Amino acid sequence: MGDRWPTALWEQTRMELLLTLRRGEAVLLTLVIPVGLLLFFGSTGLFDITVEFLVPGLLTLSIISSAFVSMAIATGYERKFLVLKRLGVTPLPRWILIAAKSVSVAVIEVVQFVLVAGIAVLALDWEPAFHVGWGAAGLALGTSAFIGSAMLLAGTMRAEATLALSNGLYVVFLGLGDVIVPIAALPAALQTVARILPGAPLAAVMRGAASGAEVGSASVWSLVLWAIAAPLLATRVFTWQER
Amino acid sequence: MTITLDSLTKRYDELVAVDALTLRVEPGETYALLGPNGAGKTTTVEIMEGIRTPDVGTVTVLGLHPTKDRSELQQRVGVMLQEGGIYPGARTAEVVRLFRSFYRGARPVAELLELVGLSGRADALYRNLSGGEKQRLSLALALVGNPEVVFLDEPTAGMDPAARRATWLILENLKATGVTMLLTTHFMDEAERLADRVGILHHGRLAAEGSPDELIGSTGLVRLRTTRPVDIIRIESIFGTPVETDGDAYLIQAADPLPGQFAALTEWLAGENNLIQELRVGSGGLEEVFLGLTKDSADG
Repeated sequence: MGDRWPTALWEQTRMELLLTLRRGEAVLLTLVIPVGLLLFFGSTGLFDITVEFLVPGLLTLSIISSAFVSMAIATGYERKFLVLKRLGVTPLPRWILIAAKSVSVAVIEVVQFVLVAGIAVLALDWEPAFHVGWGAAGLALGTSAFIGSAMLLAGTMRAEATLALSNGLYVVFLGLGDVIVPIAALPAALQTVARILPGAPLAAVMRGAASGAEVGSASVWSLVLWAIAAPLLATRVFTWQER
Repeated sequence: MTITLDSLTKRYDELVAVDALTLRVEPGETYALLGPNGAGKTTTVEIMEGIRTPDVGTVTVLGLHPTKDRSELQQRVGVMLQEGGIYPGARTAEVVRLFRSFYRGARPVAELLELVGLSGRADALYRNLSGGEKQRLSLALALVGNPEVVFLDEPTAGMDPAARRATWLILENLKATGVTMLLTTHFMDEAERLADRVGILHHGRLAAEGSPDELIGSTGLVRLRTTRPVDIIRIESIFGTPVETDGDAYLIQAADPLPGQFAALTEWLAGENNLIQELRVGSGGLEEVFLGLTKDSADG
């Protein structure tokens, strides 16, 4: 590849973004649903959910939808349709493909953050107390943990199974991710499950980022562990072609 | 040598897909691997491409190792997979543009689309292309980087006759520029037309190898059917070669039968008042060679 890699990275990232924007269900999942939930709960005040609780929860859901669900489905079908196999017989190095996928997710996350935070400020009188350090840490660790988990599914299962399971887990995170339902409101057993999964720890970090809330060290360590273990495990078990 | 395979073996569990295969492809040569389904064609090609690794044996392409020298080799090699490999939601020109960014000195998008006859389909989504159009886009992608070696796995599968002939022309032009090609095919006419040498693969082994002419010549046959049985010894004495029977037909193993021998045959049969129902000379082409070599294969 030599000195051509910036061009390849740019073109591959451009393709990833183009394809994501063309998939209706990806746009629904990553942009329409988080904004819709924000407007619905933010304007009705149902279940006494405050905008201060809602915004970091929906930033968490945004990361889960783009880095996990959308990425798992897209990669699963690229594997099924032998796109990954074909790219493997070009000079494109694997690290550029992974970097392009990560950059495309980051771009969508920035759009999600601007939309969710912007609408919250302009339409719902949200007064943010940004903590840039926690925000950057949450974005980086959360994206790594969830892209890694996406690759774990997409690289080991049939595309249809990845589609079903990732959508199912999206609903699980909606309930157990401290997104709309506060984790303290869950039964004790479910609280334990929620704290083991990466959703609630990410939400805790995003609460620190959006409102300056204190972030428990258990949440940070749990998220760090997921951010390291999921991609590492994915690189070990990922196969480029369905059997 | 542009491609060398030495004692290549690849097993999938109990199945031996490629069995101690040794093969050479010279610079500028077009080599066709012919064989029934499951003969090991795709496995062999995918080992050369670096997609699969052999259990035993060595492979070199342009003197390089398919997996260890991957990054250098892929710059100089073009690949056409048997199917798929392209984003269903991407447009034709977008895919070519993406692939161009991977190669040094890549050919322009418009030139490639023109070459494969897809200029009018530049904005079409891949999923909306016909089977033949998909194949042609796949061929364009194999040629993006001006490769020295091209691997084509069933390049004209799913094409209508016109598209197939157009593709043959593209490949013949490519061959004229000195590109080395290795293709697999089910189509005898394709192998006869394009290949300098043909290897017939059967159960992962080379059942026969040679130029199309050599292979066809090696099984030169006269096939005779008559209304009544004939005296085999008499036919053998006319042609000077052994005669076998195939049902009610007689197969005369004559590579180069002479006109005089046919005259003697027909004169004798006329005298016997025995009517000729079928008399065919020579082979039906590679197809006959192929079927003869692979007839124990149920899925052939």
